Amino acid sequence: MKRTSTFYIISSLLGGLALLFIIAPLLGLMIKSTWPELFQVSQNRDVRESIILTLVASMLGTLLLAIPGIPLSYMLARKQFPFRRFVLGLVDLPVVIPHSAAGIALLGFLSKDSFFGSGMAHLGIEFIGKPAGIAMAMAFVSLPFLLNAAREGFASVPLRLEQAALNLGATPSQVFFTISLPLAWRSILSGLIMMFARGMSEFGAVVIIAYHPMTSSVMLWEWFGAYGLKYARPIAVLVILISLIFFILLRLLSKNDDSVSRKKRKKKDA
Amino acid sequence: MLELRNIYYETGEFQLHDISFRVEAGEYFVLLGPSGAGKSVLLELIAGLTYCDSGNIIFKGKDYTDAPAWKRPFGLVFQDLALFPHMNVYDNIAYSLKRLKLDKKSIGQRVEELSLELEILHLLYRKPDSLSGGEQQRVALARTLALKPSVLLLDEPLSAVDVSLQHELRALLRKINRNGVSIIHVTHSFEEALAMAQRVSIIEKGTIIHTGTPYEVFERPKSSFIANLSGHRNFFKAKVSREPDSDLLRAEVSPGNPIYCYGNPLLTEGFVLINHENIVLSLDKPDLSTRNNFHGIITDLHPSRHGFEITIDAGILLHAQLTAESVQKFSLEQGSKIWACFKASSVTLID
Repeated sequence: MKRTSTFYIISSLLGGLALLFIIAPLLGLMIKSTWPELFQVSQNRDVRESIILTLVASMLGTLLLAIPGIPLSYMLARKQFPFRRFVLGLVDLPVVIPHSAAGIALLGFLSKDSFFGSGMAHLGIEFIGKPAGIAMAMAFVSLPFLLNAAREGFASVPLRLEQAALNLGATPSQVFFTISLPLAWRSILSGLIMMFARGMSEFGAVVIIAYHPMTSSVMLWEWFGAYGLKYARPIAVLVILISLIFFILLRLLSKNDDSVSRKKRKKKDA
Repeated sequence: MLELRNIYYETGEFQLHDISFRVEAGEYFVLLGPSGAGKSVLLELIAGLTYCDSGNIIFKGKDYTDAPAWKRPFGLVFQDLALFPHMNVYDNIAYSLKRLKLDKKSIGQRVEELSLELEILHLLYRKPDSLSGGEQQRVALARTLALKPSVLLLDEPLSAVDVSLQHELRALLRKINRNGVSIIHVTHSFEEALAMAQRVSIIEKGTIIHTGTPYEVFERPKSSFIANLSGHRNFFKAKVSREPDSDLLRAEVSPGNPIYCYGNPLLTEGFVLINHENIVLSLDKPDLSTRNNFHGIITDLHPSRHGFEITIDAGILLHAQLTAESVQKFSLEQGSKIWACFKASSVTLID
């Protein structure tokens, strides 16, 4: 008879409890909501607009911050520089500080009273109470997901490959674009998905920067406060479903990217 | 052509120091040394992947010491080959040519030319991870040769392939060298150095201890590492003094155990080399004219290609060879007492 260690049995039971902790509230929410309720909520114009705003703002924040974020991850993975450990800690800061506090901090930075805010206002870009501000708030709290995933991706690329490229006449920037980036791409894409998904769900920082226009999280909060649980539940289900759909779609995209390259390899090998 | 002058490099507890040598145009130069001697670091310094703390790297009169890696005319083939896994063989070979912004046709021609030369034309559209060790080695060579480097740097190029492929690759490397490419080949293998080198440098503990033709280096070794490699087991560092009223020199290997020999009377320190064939063994004290007579105990006795190899502890460890018949005749075994004798004139003293 196959023997199973008591440790593994206990671990499986405890692990099952942890999974149940994630699944049970979501499942409860789904069971208590009816299809007609969901349909009705999805027809509401304010709800639809808030969902589109959430998706667009999170996507915009993710893509905008990826431009400086990816090179920062590369530097953190590859180079030793003064205060590197401090910078590594700094990168995780938005995850650990209360998000409402992050919103207050951002408010000071993005408002027209600040140097940055006033400079951007001169260029016609305003943040407070605007989609651009929402995108910044979402990006601020979710950037660590991209930075850490990309850093791990770059660190997993063997240094030897970059050295070989340098020896073959490639400049450091050419090495980055032809070797490091293509080889770390899957980790970066995974980081972008996590950043986007986490940005979409942000409430604390967003509500301080912009109560209006409303993101789905803020709208959910308002409906809960104004109309109670019964009315808030269908919108919560809708928001969760949409988050899940985008999360799964993007995950599939990164998986497909991998399987396509595998298929290509097999074809060329044949 | 390529000259390294007094290179000094330090990282952690490891140091490369007093590294100087010159490689001529078209020369096949081998750097031989044990693991951890600093051979690979030295190649990385030449290639510009790391920078030396002092010293100069001069090529055709131009100082490349501080030049970035991508501007140096030296192609390095890494020990682990470092083929780009996300590119097929064609793109690996074409990598450096694309950086030069050559047109597609010229790149294709050059890749085909190299693939023919290295017999990898049939592999061009395969990914590196689907190739055998020998095929990968050829691809790595082709990729490095694409840029027509003035000096080819090879880091243990034969270590990852089996013995039958080693012969093939050696022939290939000689062919590349005959085509005019200077080669600096790093290895820890004595046979490889002997087979390939026009000149060889011995590197040990971060410094070069001997440079010369393989004959010069291996016949008169200057380190126990080389002496062992070239089969000289009786190799000792000694303090040398002159015997009064004689041409004889006294080489003190360990206190109270002098070896008498002839050589440069001005030497105060050197290496003593005794060919095991010159050691005569006897159970009783021999009545011979030999100047060096050591009485000791056999500490090891094991079969070898030519009979038995024995190690005698006589204050110094001497290695000698005996036929199987002699071992049987004298009933020799571990612990037996024996005399080991050799003439002063049979000892080589190396400065």
